Amino acid sequence: MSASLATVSYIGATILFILSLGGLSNPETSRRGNWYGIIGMTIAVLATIFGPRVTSGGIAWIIIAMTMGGAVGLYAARKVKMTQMPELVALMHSLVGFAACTVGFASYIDNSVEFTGAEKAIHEMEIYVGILIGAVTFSGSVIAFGKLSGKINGKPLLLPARHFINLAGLLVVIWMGNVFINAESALGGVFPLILMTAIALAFGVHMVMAIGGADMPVVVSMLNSYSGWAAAATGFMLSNDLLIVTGALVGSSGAILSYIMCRAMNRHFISVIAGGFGTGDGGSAKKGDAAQEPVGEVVPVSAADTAELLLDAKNVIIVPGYGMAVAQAQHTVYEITKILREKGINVRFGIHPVAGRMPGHMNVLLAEAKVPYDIVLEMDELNDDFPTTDVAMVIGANDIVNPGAQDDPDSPIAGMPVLEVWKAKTSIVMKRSMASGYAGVDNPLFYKENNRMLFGDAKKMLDEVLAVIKG
Amino acid sequence: MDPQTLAEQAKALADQTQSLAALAADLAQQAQMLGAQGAMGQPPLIMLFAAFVLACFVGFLAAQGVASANRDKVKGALGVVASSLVVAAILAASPGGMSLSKILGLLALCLASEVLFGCAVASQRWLASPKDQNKTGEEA
Repeated sequence: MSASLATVSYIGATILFILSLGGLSNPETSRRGNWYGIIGMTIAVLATIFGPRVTSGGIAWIIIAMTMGGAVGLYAARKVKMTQMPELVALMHSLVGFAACTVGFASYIDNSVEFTGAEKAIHEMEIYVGILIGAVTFSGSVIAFGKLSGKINGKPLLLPARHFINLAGLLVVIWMGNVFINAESALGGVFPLILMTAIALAFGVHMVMAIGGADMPVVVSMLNSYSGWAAAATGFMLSNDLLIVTGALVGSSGAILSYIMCRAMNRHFISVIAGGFGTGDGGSAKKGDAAQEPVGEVVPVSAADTAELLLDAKNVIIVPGYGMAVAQAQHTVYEITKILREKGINVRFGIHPVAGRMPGHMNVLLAEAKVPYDIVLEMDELNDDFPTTDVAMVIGANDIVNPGAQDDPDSPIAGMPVLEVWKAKTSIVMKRSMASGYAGVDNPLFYKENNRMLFGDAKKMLDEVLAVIKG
Repeated sequence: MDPQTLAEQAKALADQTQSLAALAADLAQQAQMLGAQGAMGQPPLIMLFAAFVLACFVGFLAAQGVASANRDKVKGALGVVASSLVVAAILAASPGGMSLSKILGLLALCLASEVLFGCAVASQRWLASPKDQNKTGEEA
C-alpha cells in the first residue's frame, strides 16, 4: 500500500470515529455509531499493517500478537456478566495505559531512527509524557478495577498531607524530565525514565485510593479520558496523526463527560483529577462517629405486605441500584411493573446519574429486561414527584437515596444530589442487611417513620412479591 | 591464463556481483521506507498540534450532546476508539528481525488487541438490549 493510500485510509478512519461519537449521542443511532467505530478501526489497522512503515518480515509477528490478544479480549467480553461490565471497562483502560507505557519504552530504545537537536528533545519529551500518562492510567485503572469488583475496600484512603505528596511527586517528575532530556546517552536516560514511571504508578494508585466508592463512576469516566490522552501522547511520539486525533477525541470527550458527571454530583472536577474529594485531610470516612449514628428503629415488612402496598397505590416509583444488578432481579421487576400497569397503577423508574457502578448501568439492565423507555426517568425528571407518590420502592440502592447527603454537612457524600424517596407516602427499601452502602456511610432513611425494610435477596423477595400480586 | 583460473575468477566476480546486487536491493528498500516515513510519518509538529486541538474540539462537541442514559455506551465505544493504540503498537512491532524494542512492541500489540476486540464485543453487548427493548416498547 502506498503512503498516499495509507494517509487517505487514516482520514477515512478518523471521519468514521467522529461519526461514531455522534451516533452514540442517542439510543436510536447508538448501534450504528458503534459500527462506525469498529469499521474505522478495521480500516486503520489494515492501513497500518499493509502501509509503508511495516516490513514484510514483521507482518507474521503482528498477526500472531493480534490473534493472541484478540482471542483473550473476545473471550473476556463474551463471558463477562452485564453486572461486571464496569470492572471490564476499568481493566481495559489499564491495558491501554500499560500498552502506552510499553510503546513508549520501545520507542525510546529503538535506534532505527536517529533524531538530533531540537527534534531529539521534542521526541524524548513526547516519550516521557506518553509513559507518564500511560503509567497513571494503568495503576489507577487497576485500583479502580479492584474497588469495583470489591477486591479493594471502597472507602477512601486519605493519607495525611496527600496534596503535598502529590506536589512533591510532580516536582520530582519535572526534575527527572530535565535529567532525561539532557542525558548524554540512551543508557543515561533509562534511570530517570524508570523513576518517573514508578512515581506515576504510585500517583495512579494514590489518586484512585483516595476516592470513595460512591464516586467511582466519575473515576471510571476520568480514566477513560486518561487512556485517550495516553494514546494522543503516543501519537505525538510516533508522529502519527491518526493516533493524535483519536486520542484527543477520546481524551476530550471523556473529560467533558467526567465534568458533566461531577457537576451532576456537586463535585469539583479539579479535586477528582488531584485525587480524593469531598473529604478533609487525614483519617478515613467518618463512619462510626457517634454524631453520625442515625437514631430510631427500622420497621421490617414482609413480601406479602409489600405486594399489598403496591396494589393499593396509584403512583409507584421504583429506584434500582447495584443490588438489583447483583441479584439479577431486573426481569422480575419488569414482570411486577407489567402487572401493576395493567391494573392501572402509574409505575415509573427513577435513575440516579451514578446508580450502580457506572453511569447508565441501570438503564442497560432495565432495557435488557424490556422495561419500556418512556417510564425510565432521570433523577431530575421525577425528584419533585415523590411527595405525590404512594410507594417508592428502592431495590438494592443505598447511597443514592441517603438523606444525609442533604442534611449532614459532615457526611462524605454531602452535597451529592439524591433521589428523595423519603418524601413519598411510604418508602420500601429492599436490602440484604443493614450494612452501609458503597461509600461506607449509614443511611438515616432506614430509620424514618414512613420507611419499611424488606430484608433478603432482591430476586427472592421480588419473586415472592410477584407471586402475591399474580395471585 | 589457463581456462580453469579464468573460470574461477569469473565465478568470484559473479559472486561479488550477486552480493552487491543484494546489498543494493537492501539499500533500495531502506531508502523506500525512509522516503515513506518522510512522506507520511513525519509531518511538522505544528500540523500535528493543529490536528490535536481540532480533535479536542470535536470530542468536546460530541460529548456535550450525549444523554446521560447513553454515557456508558459512549464509554464502551470510546474504548474501541482508544484502542487505536493498536496502531502505535503495530508500528513499534514492525521492524524485521528481533530486538528488545520489537518484543516490547509485540507485547503492546497483544494488550492493545485485547482492548480492541474486547471493547468491540462488549459495546455490542451493551447496545444489543435497547434494540430488543424498542420492539417490546412498540408491542406494549
